[in-house]
Amino acid sequence: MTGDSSAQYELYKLYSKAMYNTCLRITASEMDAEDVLQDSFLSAFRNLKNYKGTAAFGSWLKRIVVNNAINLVKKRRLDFESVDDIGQFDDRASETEHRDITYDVAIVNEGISRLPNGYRLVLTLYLIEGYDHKEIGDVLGITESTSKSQFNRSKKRLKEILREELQYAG
Amino acid sequence: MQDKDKLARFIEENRQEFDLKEPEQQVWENIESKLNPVQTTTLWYWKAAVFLLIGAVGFLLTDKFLPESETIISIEQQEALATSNLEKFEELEVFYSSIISKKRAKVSEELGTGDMFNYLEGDIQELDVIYKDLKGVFLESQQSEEVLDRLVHVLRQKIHLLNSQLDILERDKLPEEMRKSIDISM
Repeated sequence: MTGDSSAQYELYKLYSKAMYNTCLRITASEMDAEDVLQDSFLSAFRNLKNYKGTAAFGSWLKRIVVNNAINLVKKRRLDFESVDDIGQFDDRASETEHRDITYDVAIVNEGISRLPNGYRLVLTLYLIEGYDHKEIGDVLGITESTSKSQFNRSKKRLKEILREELQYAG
Repeated sequence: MQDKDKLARFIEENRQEFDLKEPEQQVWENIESKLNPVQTTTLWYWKAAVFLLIGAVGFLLTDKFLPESETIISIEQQEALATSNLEKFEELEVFYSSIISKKRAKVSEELGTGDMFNYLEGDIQELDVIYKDLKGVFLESQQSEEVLDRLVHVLRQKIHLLNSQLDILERDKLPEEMRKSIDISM
């Protein structure tokens, strides 16, 4: 393994920033995010032999990171709202509003960080990590439709935060 | 719908832009230190093994060569000792032999050829046999201090025998009264 040391650092340099931000979006805590990042890279390096090379290393690593981060959040008792209350009303309400809005990454990101855990997770997994609702359901242990409804609610809530808390575009 | 899609689309299209923060350098250091213990411990084992090997080789080399040189010296010393023992023996043999032959001459002069002399002669012959054997051992193999001591002891015994005989002969010459006062030690 000695010869792999610099290769490991190369992999770390290449992926640590993206993985750290993924951790941060899921855990919403820099300390937790760094713990998850550290554990994930360690387990990835120790299990490199299990990496078949069928998926890109980045997505293999990302699966490890997301699973570890979610496990940590689950330990902190993450509660999801029930399936039935799908935010149709809010979608409708927002249809006509703020048509010409342009967004700013830093402010949207701040808005995301203010979302409740369940909302933030589904929204970021779907929009930023690129998971579909079935995958989100699998990793969070919820149904696909719960994931969808959570996603709609989280978008609505994010807009509220942006408008009300951050006085953004509203 | 358009607005919702716009925010969602904005986030989706700018995914990478949302990676705003960098992890602390400490994270890599922790990872490295947790990955490295395996390396450092194996390195440690290697170091220990090398030290042990060097120690063992060093020990065996000194064990092999130093005592050997010591034995070489001691063999030389033994040889030197043996030659000196041989010289010593030759000197002692000449010395004691001259005393013995003088005493024997005196005894035979005093005694003539009597029974007593025959007994004495028998004892001396017995000692001579022992002496001959010992001398053979000494000259052929063990030219040691101990064998030399034994040889000298035999010679002295011979002298002692002769002296005792001479004492008896001297006493016989004295008048009857004086004989009692002289203690003869054998």
